[in-house]
Amino acid sequence: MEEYKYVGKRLPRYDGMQHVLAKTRYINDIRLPGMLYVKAWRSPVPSARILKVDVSKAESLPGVVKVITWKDVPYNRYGFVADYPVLAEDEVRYIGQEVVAVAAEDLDTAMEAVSLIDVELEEREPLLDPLKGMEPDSIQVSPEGNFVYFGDKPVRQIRKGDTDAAFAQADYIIENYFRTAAQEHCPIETQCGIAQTDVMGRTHVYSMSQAIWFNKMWLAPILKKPQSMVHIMGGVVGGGFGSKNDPHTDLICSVLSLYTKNRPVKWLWTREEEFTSSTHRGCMHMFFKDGVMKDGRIIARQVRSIRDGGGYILTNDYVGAKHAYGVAGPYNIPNVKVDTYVILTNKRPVSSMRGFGLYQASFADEVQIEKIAKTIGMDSWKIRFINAVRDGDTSSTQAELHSCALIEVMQAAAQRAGIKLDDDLLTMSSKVRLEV
Amino acid sequence: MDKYTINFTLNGRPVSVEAPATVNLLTLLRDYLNVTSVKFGCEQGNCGACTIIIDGEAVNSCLVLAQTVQGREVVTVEGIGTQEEPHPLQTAFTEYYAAQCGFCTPGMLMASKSLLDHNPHPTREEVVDGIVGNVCRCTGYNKIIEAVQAAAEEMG
Amino acid sequence: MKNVQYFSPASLEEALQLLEEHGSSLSVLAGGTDLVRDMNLEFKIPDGIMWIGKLNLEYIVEEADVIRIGAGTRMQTAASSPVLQMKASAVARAAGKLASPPVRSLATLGGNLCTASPAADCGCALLGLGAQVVLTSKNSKRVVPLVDFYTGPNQTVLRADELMTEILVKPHAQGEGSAYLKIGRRQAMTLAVINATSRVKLDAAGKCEAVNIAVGAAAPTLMRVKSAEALLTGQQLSEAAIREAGELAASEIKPIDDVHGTIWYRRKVVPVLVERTLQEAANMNGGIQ
Repeated sequence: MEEYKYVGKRLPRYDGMQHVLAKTRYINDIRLPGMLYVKAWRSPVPSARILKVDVSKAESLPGVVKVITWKDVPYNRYGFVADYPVLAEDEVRYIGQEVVAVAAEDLDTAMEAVSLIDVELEEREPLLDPLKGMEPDSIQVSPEGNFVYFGDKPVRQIRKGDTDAAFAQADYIIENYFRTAAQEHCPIETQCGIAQTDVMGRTHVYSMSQAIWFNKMWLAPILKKPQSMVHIMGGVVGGGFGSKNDPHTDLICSVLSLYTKNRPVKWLWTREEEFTSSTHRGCMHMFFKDGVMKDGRIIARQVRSIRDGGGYILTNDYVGAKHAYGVAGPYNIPNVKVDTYVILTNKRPVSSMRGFGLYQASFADEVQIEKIAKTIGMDSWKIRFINAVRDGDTSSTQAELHSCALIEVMQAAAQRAGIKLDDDLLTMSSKVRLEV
Repeated sequence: MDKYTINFTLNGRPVSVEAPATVNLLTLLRDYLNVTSVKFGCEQGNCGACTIIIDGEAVNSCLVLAQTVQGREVVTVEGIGTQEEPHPLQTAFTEYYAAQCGFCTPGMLMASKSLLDHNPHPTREEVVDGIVGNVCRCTGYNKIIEAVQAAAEEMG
Repeated sequence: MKNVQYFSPASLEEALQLLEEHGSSLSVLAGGTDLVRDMNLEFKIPDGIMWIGKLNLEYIVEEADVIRIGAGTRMQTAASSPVLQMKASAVARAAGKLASPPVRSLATLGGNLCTASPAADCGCALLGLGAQVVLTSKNSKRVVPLVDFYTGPNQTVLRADELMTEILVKPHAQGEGSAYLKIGRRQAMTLAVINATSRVKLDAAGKCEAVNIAVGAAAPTLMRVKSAEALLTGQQLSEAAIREAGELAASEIKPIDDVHGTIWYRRKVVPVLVERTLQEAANMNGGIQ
């Protein structure tokens, strides 16, 4: 047996010493000469029209260097679908949405300046339930409606075979409702960014983004500059998990830095801001209907999913699509009908979180397997083995599958967990299609 | 704004610094004394990223009013080991992958050090109780617990 | 930015003089786990801060009929004190369950009582133990039973010129025990969704001579469950009696729905905690009939 250099060996964490000596330099550890501190005026209500913004008292506070509203943002839109304002214009869609940002000599001054800002809001009734948001007479969160679009449709659809015909043939119809909760990543490092625009007009950003290249692509047009004039430095992240894909501090800091006469600006979010206003995972409602045969085969699966999309689209369409693709599970089901909706609501922005729609899918479809097992009286391992995809099967999106290994993985997992599987399961293989 | 002088010992060295009454020790260490190992995670005593040792006991520096450190001994991660001579906990954390993003690590090390200082041979449960005030979102804690136990064994 | 004054008196005299002069514009700083946190979160920035850390208020002294606990005694000291563990078990247990080790190195019993959260750990334990508190001012000193100390959520009878200096607890006698339990949303670092304390004195025949039952997070203030106490006093502490006491607790409490828990849940769980603490307290001295 060959001796491996790395495989099977305990290796020290390559940057471990740096971490344990506390020499890793996170964004908030960086201090630059002349640095200014940022605080934002945030909406205290989930939905309102902005009638008037008066920043005059904040502007005249000694120590305040610049106060910005949406009018000071060269191009006030961000995101794949560009529906998200950097600073709110005529409305706020969630508690904590930024309307005004201040850069001042020190943090206390910045906080005092924010307290001197007067924003007149006309509160509106918020939409908090995505299921209600699907109804035609519902409150509309955006002028384009509450449905996030996938291409030209307000829903992401998967269609394979004929589920209605299959349901008619099935021995059992098993329906269940699942719901996963909203989640906050809660990285121990809160959002923080530093931006500085130099004399040549190049904006430098110290960023904790997990997606620096995407962010550069969006930041440049916001500043109305070519990408070559935007320089983002990053790579050290104190926990991301998807919370730092979308820029939280970088856009506002970059805009402020255009006006601070080359002085850098730093914005550190508090834990409260992280919980109330940063991107998070939205809750997901999933309605399953399966057609199952006595022998354990799932011959039809219909899933209707509704995701609470928060105030803006962000990466919701990506999550919705990924979820739709995976929700039928790694199982060879000949008839699949999936409808995945993402509905905007007046809640804080919803975007990426580790798993991207697949963790919700896994939870629901695996618990559904357990419920099938209980209903038809068959061991749930067996149901999984029978239905597991094998080479040559097609996915729910009708792609032909190769190099399948679910069966082998389950066999190995059972063995390691000390579970003795029945012989017929132990002799199964991904390379041999199940004869129907 | 009234400022008060605080004289105390930081990692074995005497320091003297002036600050207003409302400044907490986390801010004093980071912003006034450039000790950046102590991290801002919540500023409410819930995450432990700001954990340091005062007079031999682990505390959340964000909950300590800086003025109350007058005449006392403060130890942060910078004071427990160096690259040439790391503390056994620091070595163990590196070898056992007890740090991923590293942000909770300084606080975790100080809580662990305080635990081992008071209880040199903790059971696994005692290690867990000792670090219960330090939140880690990356590792799932098992590697941290293993590292602390390994360090305890190494320290004899 | 407010200008805040800071004082760290070296003697009780000096401290009381400052309180006399400044009254309610002076906030007393003990461990800081409430005050400094409130300042950090901008809930409250006092005009003046007086730190009592130099007043030597951390001590646990056992005398013939009373354990005197300095109000500045920290949680970790209380939790590891053999005197409290043996003779006032409920408060040792409560102190050890509060938050986390770094918080327990700072937080004080006096602070816990004066913040007067209706869910306080040590507050519940000391109320169940029948404790009294010593409130001292420049010209007065009064001993107030803890059961008379609370007037509402985060409200007490403590005057602006007074400092809580001591907590008095009657130690367990022969045949006595006390216990504290709490249920939170987590195993540690958690507020109590419900907590309970029982102090039980059994006579030689196993009959309940005296009993205190305190419950927290179930009313505007920490409370004693008088109906359950009345039921059990003079009775054999049978399983049936204990169960009935639990049910009385469920109906006597006045919980609310809040972010930590619901009325329904609190009424379901309080009998369990009351029963378990009664059993544990009784078992310290020979068991239930």
